[in-house]
Amino acid sequence: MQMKREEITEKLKDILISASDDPQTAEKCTDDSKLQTELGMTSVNMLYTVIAIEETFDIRFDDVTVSSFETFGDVVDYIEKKLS
Amino acid sequence: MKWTPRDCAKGDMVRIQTGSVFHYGIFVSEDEVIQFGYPPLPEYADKNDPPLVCAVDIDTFSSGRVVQCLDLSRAERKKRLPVEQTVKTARSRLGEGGYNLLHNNCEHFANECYFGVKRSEQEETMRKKWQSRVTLDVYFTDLSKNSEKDMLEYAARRSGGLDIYRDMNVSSGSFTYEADGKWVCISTDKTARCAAVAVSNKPVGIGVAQYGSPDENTLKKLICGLFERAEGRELYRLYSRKKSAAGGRRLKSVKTSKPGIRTFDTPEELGCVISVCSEAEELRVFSYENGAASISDRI
Repeated sequence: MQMKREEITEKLKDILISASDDPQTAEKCTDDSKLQTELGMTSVNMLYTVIAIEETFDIRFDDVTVSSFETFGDVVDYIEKKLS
Repeated sequence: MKWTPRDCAKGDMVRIQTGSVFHYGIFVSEDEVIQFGYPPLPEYADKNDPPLVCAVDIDTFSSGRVVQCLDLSRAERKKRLPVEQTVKTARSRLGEGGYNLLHNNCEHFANECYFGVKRSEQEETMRKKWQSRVTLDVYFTDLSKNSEKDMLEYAARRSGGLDIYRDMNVSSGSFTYEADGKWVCISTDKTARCAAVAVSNKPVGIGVAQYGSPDENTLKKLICGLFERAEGRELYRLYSRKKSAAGGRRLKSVKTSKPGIRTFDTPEELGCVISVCSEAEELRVFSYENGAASISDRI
């Protein structure tokens, strides 16, 4: 599946908004936003997010732990790599 | 299944709470708790080693938290493996890697040793939550800048994963589309200035009204039932609410007091009010401009 980085970013933002209780999540999402400290991702949110990403992008995460990704951009990079 | 903090017995499935999730293991003795991954202690987190099946003592496993043991009902007991087999399986996997947060985590491991079935209730719960969520995105655009068609095409692709013309061959109104057991429901409406579209996975209706058009007297005749009174902007808000809930019925007979309808104004220059009738709790509103949409508000 070919998908531009911007499109991946938008879809990932949608997922994080759905996973988060914070209505400001969309505004806070930049490539450098830290998932845990800035976007308030907990381990439960992370589990939900990983499921949502797998189903949305039709990919499978390998070797993923709760601490595998530090920033929003790291997740976008991972998805982009998986889709390429 | 019930989890209780009690003295652990050989072969018990045990767990501790770490934040909002649980970490699981198999208790063999006070000196041997076998788990997939590491206890939530800084010395393990700092190493950043790939998670392996390992054995630690009960104090390390608990990491200062309460250890809960799995208690089974009479019927559930029939499903568990014999204690010695549980211990043997757990020990045989020491040093094994291949951890995966979703597909091969500590809970999968513990269940496989204890019941012979690889599953994670935490993963299943989250998956159900994701699959059963009700989504609702609303897009609106200034018709002097973008066409309704372009916005509809963008919204259907972005929120529903659909190529609206290839998959559905429609251009306005309310319609639904089913693919792989998933529904995409789309509703559109417009005035002379503004067009709006709602995309949801449950039935949805959208209504747009432009302040001052039609004039108040005409509108009252068109939409107000016998006991309905509304003036000024409130009348146009009522109009948009009725349109969103109409579903093909006459506007005069549509009740707008039921829950599930939300109304919001577009930017002042558009002079329009939009209502959406749906089951979704969360509503995301996007303004569409120049071939892209940005989140403009959150209701």
